[in-house]
Amino acid sequence: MSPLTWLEQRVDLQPLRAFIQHKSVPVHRHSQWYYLGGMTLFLFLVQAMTGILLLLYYQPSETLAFESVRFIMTQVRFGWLIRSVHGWCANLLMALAFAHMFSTFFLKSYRKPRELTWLSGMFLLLLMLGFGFSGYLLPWNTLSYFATMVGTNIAGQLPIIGESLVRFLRGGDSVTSSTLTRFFGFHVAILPAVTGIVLGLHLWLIQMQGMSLPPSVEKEFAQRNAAPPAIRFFPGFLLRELMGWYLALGVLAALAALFPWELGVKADPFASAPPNIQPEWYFLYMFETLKYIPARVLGFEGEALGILAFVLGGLLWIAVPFLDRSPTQGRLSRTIRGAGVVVLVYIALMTVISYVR
Amino acid sequence: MSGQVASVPAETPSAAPQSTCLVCHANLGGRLSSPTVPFPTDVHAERGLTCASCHGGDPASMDPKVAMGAASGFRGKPSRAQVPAFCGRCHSDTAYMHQFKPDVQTDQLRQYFTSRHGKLLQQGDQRVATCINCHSVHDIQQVSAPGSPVYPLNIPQTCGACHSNEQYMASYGLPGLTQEADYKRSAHYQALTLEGNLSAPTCVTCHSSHGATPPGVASVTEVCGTCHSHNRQFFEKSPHQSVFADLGVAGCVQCHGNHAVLRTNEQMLAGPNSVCADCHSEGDEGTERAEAMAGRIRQLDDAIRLARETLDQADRAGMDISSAVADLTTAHSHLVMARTAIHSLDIDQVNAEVEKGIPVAEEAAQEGRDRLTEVQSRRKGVALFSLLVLAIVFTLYLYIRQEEPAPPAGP
Repeated sequence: MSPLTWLEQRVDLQPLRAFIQHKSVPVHRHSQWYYLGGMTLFLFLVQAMTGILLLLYYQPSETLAFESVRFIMTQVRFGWLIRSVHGWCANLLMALAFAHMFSTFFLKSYRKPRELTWLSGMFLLLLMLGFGFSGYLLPWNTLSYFATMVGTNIAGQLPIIGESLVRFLRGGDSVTSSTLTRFFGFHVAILPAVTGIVLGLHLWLIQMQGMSLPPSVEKEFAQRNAAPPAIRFFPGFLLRELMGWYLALGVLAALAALFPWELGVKADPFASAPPNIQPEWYFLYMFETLKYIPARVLGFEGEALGILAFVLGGLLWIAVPFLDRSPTQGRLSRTIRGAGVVVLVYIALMTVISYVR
Repeated sequence: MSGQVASVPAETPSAAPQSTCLVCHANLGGRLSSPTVPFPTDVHAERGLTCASCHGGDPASMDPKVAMGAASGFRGKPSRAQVPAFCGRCHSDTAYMHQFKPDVQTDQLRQYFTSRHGKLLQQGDQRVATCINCHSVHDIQQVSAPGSPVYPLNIPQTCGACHSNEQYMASYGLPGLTQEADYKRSAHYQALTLEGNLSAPTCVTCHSSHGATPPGVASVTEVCGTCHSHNRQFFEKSPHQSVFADLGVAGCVQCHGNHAVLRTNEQMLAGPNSVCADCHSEGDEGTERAEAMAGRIRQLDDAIRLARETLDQADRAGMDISSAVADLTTAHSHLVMARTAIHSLDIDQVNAEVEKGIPVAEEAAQEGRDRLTEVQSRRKGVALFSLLVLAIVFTLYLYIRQEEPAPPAGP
C-alpha cells in the first residue's frame, strides 16, 4: 500500500485533488508579473530556514551578540554562507516585495473583490520592513547600533506617541542591551508569528479568488466574448515558478560567496557615531527626504511634519482599493495611476541621491 | 616673596553669589570693567566664588568705600610678584581645595618657586611667567577643558607665546628659540595631534609645569625614561652609558634630539642617515654591530609587512582575519622590543626578539594565505553550484516546453 493510498483511506483528499486539477493561471502579455509573489514567498522561506540555523548559535546579549556572529562567520561550518545568504536574501526579499507591490498596483489587481488581498499584502510588507529594522541591530556592530539609534530617534519625532514609541522600541532611553533583546524578540518570535497568520490569509485569498486579470486584458477578452487562455497551476505554472526559485537561489549563493556579508566592528555605545550613518536602502528615501525638510515649517517641527506626511501617504497608499472606485476607467483611476508613477520615481530618485551624495 | 601661604581663606563657596562688584565694574568701562564679561564662565565663578573671594572686600555693599575699604579686608589687584601667593592662598590650602576635588594637587606654589620662572621672579624679574600667564585670568578654565591654555593640545602654543618670541626672550640669552617649531615636527606632537593621544608628551611632561626647569645632562635619561622605561634600562646597561657620561653629552638627546624627536626606524642605525656615524667610523665594531642589528630588525619588519599585506588582501575578499590581526599585534610588539633592545648594543637581545616575532608574523601570513585559498574554494563552489542550477533550470525549461507548453498568449 502506497503512503498516499494509506492517507486517502483516512483523509478525504478528493476536494484538494479537484482544486489542484482545476486551478489555472491566465496567460497574457502581463503574465510575467504573476511570478513575483511566488518568488517573494520563496525568499521568505529561505529567510526562515537560514534564520532558524543562525538561531542555533546566535546569542542576543550586548556582550555576546557580536562575538556569536563572529563565531558563526569564522568557526561554524558553512556559517559564513548561511549568514551571508540571510543578509543578501533580506535585501532581495525587500526588492521583490516592493516590485510585487508596484506590479499589483499598476495592474490594478487590488480592485474588487481583492481588497483584502491588497490589505494583507501591505500588512506583510510592513512586517517585512519590521523584520529588516529589527534584524539590522542583531549583529551589534557599530553601523547597526548607530543606525538603530538614528532610526528610533526618527520614530520619536512623531507627535503625541513619539516619545512612548521610542521608549517601547528601545526598552529605555537609549539603545542598550534591552533594545537588543527586545529587537531579537520581535525578529524571531512576534514578527514571525504575525507574519505566519497574515501570510496564510494572503495565500488563502489568492487561492480562493484566483489570479486577477489586468483591466485592459479583461476588457479585450470581454469584447471578444472569450475567456483568456490559461495554464494549469500544477504543474505548469509551478514548474515555471520553480525555474525562478532556482535562479534566485543561484544568485543568492553567488552573492554570498563573492561578497560575504560584513561583520563590521563591535558596537561601542561610548564611541562617537561614525560619519554617514544611514539605514538600510529600503528606508533611505524617507531618511533622505527628512534631510531636505527645513527645521521649522509654518511654526511646526520640520522632521515631525515629514514623518507625519509619510504616515499619511502610507495610509492613503494602503487605502487605494477604496479610493479607486472605478479602477477600469475614469479620471480618478488615471490620477491614481499617475500618483503611483510619481511615488515610484520619487522613491527611486531619493534612494539614488542618498547613495550618490 | 616666599612660598608661604598668607592665610587660610575664611570664605566658603556660596551657592548663589551676590556681588555688587560686578554691578559697579560692569559700568566703569575699559580695564576696570573687562573682568566682568568673562568672569561668569570662569571656573571659580562656576564653583560659587566671587570677586571678593580673591580680591577681598565686602561684595554686599554698594558703597565703594565700604566695599573696597581696608576694614572689609579688601586686597585689591596683586602686583605680578604677588600673583603666585595670591593664587596660592587657596590653591595651597589642601583642606580648602578638598571641597572641590578630593585628589587635588596643592603643591603648585612650592613647585613654582623651584622653577626658573619662580626663581627669577624672586630675583625681581617681573617679566617671567606667573600663574596668570599660563592659566589666564578671570576666564580660567579647568585644565581638562579643551579651551584652556593648558589643555594638552594648547600647551605648545602657551609656552611658545613667550619662548618663541625672540624679542621677549632676548635678555635671557637662551640658545635658540625654535623649541615650539621643533616640537611640532616631533613624533610626540604627531601622537598628540594626529593620533589624538592626549597623554603624549608636551612641554610640561619633560620640563614640568609649575616647577618648569630644563633637565640637566645627567637627568635627560631619567626624563625620557619616565615613559620609555625599557629604553632607559637597556641604555643604562650599555657601554654608551659611561662613554656619554665621560663625554658630558645627554644620553637620549645625543641621537634623538630634544624637541624635534622624530619617529625612529632602522635608518637611524645603518645607511646614509645613520646617527651612529656621528661618532663611529665606517668598518669599526660599533658600525658593524649597528648594521647587523638593523638587518635583523628589517627581517622582522618585512615579515610583518608581508603578513599584513596578505591579511589585507583576505580582508578585502570578505574573510574574517581578526584572530590573525591580533597575532600580528604580538609580532609587532616584538618588533618594538627589538627596536628598543638596540639601546643595549647587544645583538643577542635584538636577535631574541626578532626570533620570537618572525614565527608569529609567518603564522599570521599563513593564516592570510589560508583565507585566500578558502576564497578560491568558495568561488569554485559557487561556480559548480551555478552550473548545477543552470542545468536544473535548463532541464525544467525543456520539460515544460515538452510537457506543459503555454497556450498562445492572449492580448
